[in-house]
Amino acid sequence: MSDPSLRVELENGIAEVGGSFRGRLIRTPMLDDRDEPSSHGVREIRVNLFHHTEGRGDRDRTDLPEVAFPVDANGRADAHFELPVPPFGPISYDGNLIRVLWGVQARVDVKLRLDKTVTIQVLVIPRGGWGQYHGPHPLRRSRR
Amino acid sequence: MTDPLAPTPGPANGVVIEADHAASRLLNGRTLFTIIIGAIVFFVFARSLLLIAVVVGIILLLLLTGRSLLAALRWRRAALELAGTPLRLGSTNRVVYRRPSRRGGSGIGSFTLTGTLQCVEEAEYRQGTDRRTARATVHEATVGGQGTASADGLVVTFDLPVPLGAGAPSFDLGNNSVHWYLETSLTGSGVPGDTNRFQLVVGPEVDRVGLINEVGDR
Repeated sequence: MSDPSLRVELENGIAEVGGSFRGRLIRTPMLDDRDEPSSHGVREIRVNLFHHTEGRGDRDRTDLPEVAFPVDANGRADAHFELPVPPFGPISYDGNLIRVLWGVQARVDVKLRLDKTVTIQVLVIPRGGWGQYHGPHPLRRSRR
Repeated sequence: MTDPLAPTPGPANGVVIEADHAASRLLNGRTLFTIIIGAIVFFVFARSLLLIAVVVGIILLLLLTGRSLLAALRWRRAALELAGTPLRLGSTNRVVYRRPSRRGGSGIGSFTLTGTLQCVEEAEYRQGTDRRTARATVHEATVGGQGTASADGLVVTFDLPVPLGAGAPSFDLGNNSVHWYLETSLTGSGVPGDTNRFQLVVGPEVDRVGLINEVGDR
């Protein structure tokens, strides 16, 4: 379930392995579909990096450790975050049988309700790969 | 979480990667199971034919692993010497192939090594109650060089370029993985006729020096 009151801004949607994604988390409460303030029951906001696979094989998913941010009494939040990318990858990949996709996920932890999430797809490239691996799926050109 | 791309321990001047056991790949669990079941069936239903079955089994095994067995009798396991691993994307690596002899390598003239560098995707999936693996070779390139023979064995020095943007760096996520292999074979009189496979580790790092040289050459 997505949360329209939550916005995640990234400084850059591309990072090298061993680097990090920096961004800002802004939550401005608004009335939800039941005309209740969306701040109701909000405990905190958790942000993390994750990667998962798509393709022929069974799905692999790895969630990296979360960083938690508190919200104020009105459910507002405005915080900067930095999520480190592991030094050994994997990098984002679009192969013949396998795709590896990376994302930043922000999750609004709501008491006694389903958590609401916002997900942004990002790109992880090899160390020193700027200028070489900058497309949405860096290795697509290997199949040409 | 351990680092799967951590350098392999080796001698001070580099790392040594030994070849996979080719014979053990041929003599896998399924082959052994078939041989054992076949032997039991013959023993129960045709006791007099047991000897024939055993002989046929040995002949089949020799046909399957003959080259590897013959090579193993005269030659030790092949090994590659590299300056270090993991290999970088876009790098060119000086590699030394060594095949020590058990009985001395004299009598061998010139010979060549032909190698195939492969990047292979492996995807495991469940189908019913079975686990299956799909494989796709996403990059393949031929390398090689001229070798020299001495009393200690065979030595070939050659360059191994790791391409930029072809395949992915090595990774293993459980069900999905990318592996790099170098398969080598030798051509010449008196050299072992088997094929060796080495697993290489390619790291998620671009060799900027190689990249600058490549751009400069254009």
